[in-house]
Amino acid sequence: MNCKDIEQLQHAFVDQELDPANTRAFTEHLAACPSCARQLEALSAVRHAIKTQTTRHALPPELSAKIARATATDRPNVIPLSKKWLPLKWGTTGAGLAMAACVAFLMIASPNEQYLVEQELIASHIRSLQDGHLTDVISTDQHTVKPWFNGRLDVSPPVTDFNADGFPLIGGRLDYLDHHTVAVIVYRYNKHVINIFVWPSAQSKIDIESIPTQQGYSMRHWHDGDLQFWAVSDVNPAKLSEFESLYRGQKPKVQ
Amino acid sequence: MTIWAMENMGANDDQDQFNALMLPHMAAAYNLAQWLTGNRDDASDVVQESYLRAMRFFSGYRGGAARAWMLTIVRNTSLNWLAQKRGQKTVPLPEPGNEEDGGGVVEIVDDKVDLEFDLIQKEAAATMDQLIEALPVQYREVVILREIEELSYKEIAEVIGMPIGTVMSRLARARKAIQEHWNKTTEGRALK
Repeated sequence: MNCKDIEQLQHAFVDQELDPANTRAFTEHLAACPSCARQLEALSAVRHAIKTQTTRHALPPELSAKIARATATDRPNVIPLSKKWLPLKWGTTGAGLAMAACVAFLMIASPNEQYLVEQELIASHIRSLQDGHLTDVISTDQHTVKPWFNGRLDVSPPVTDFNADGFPLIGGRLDYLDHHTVAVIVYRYNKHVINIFVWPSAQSKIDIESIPTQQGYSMRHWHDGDLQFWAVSDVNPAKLSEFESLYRGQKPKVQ
Repeated sequence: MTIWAMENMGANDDQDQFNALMLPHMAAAYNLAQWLTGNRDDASDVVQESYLRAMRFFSGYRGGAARAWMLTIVRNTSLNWLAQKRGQKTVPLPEPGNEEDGGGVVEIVDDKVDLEFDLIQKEAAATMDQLIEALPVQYREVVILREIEELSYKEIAEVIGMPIGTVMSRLARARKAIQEHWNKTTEGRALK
């Protein structure tokens, strides 16, 4: 390998795209040729400058929420009173209409605060799916994840690995929601992430036990002892329900 | 709730899979779109359109690197947008092989741009952002995909629809141009 080859191959070399044989020849030449070594050093320096000085344009949060809504629009669950309800046997009866009216009323009357919490939960869930935001502590070991929350929070959320049931524990993180620092325990089901948000219950402003879906995300909400729990995921609602029962098999406690 | 879940299992599973695979790359998509279009509003429009397109073409996704697949669509949407907005001399080419890959591709015809000329127009004390902005788009995209998004040569080749050799030569030229100007800039700073 001569100096001209080096000049051509140095980019592939710094990008680790050179095959082993050429890499060996390349490094051998480099060790014997100070001029090529200097050249490579200069290339590494400019790469470093590009990597460290170039702006990463930050995704506007409103865009991320907009896309999450858009990617959920062709789902039936975001059309609250569509014909999807009619296959229920009472669809055409008076009772059906009465029920539909009740449902409509419930949806209009649902408290604003709850809506805001749901929006925050979904935003946090989406954020968590972006590279590097899912967990602060990565561990499939419940005895690592649970103590990690101690000292960071005034609650001690229950952490159990349900790997045997198909819901492996991934880790935990802290998030800020509804004016609280909250514990988030992260599980996975196949390719889907399930985030469990835990924080102390105030006197319950939100008393609906479960919210079916929001923007295409399945959500479950429940209280247990002094804690409230929200599960958010893109698995189907039946799966999330199953996970909820599994998770609620144990008792949380406040420290 | 469970009733529709069962009725619509198939469609929702596709959507679930799309969301799980493609939504995590939104930040990378946005960064690339803003580097190619040059501003926030256009980048937002491009990313939104790209995700809608991606959903439509998702049945054509055959596994492999999800990020590269998503960035291909963002890149093509950005270049189409640039072509429309600036009325550049462009020739739309059909997607090689698979039309489902994200719509028409726009290739800039003039590949023999004088990089140094473009860069030297700028003041000596340019920031790295200014230097990269000054690169013609076909060089800029390769630099962003490699140095910021850290895609492999093979992935970049897929994204820009060019052979790996072209990726290498564009990357080499772009780095050289940046290097020459950057050195001048840092020397200039050192003298002050």
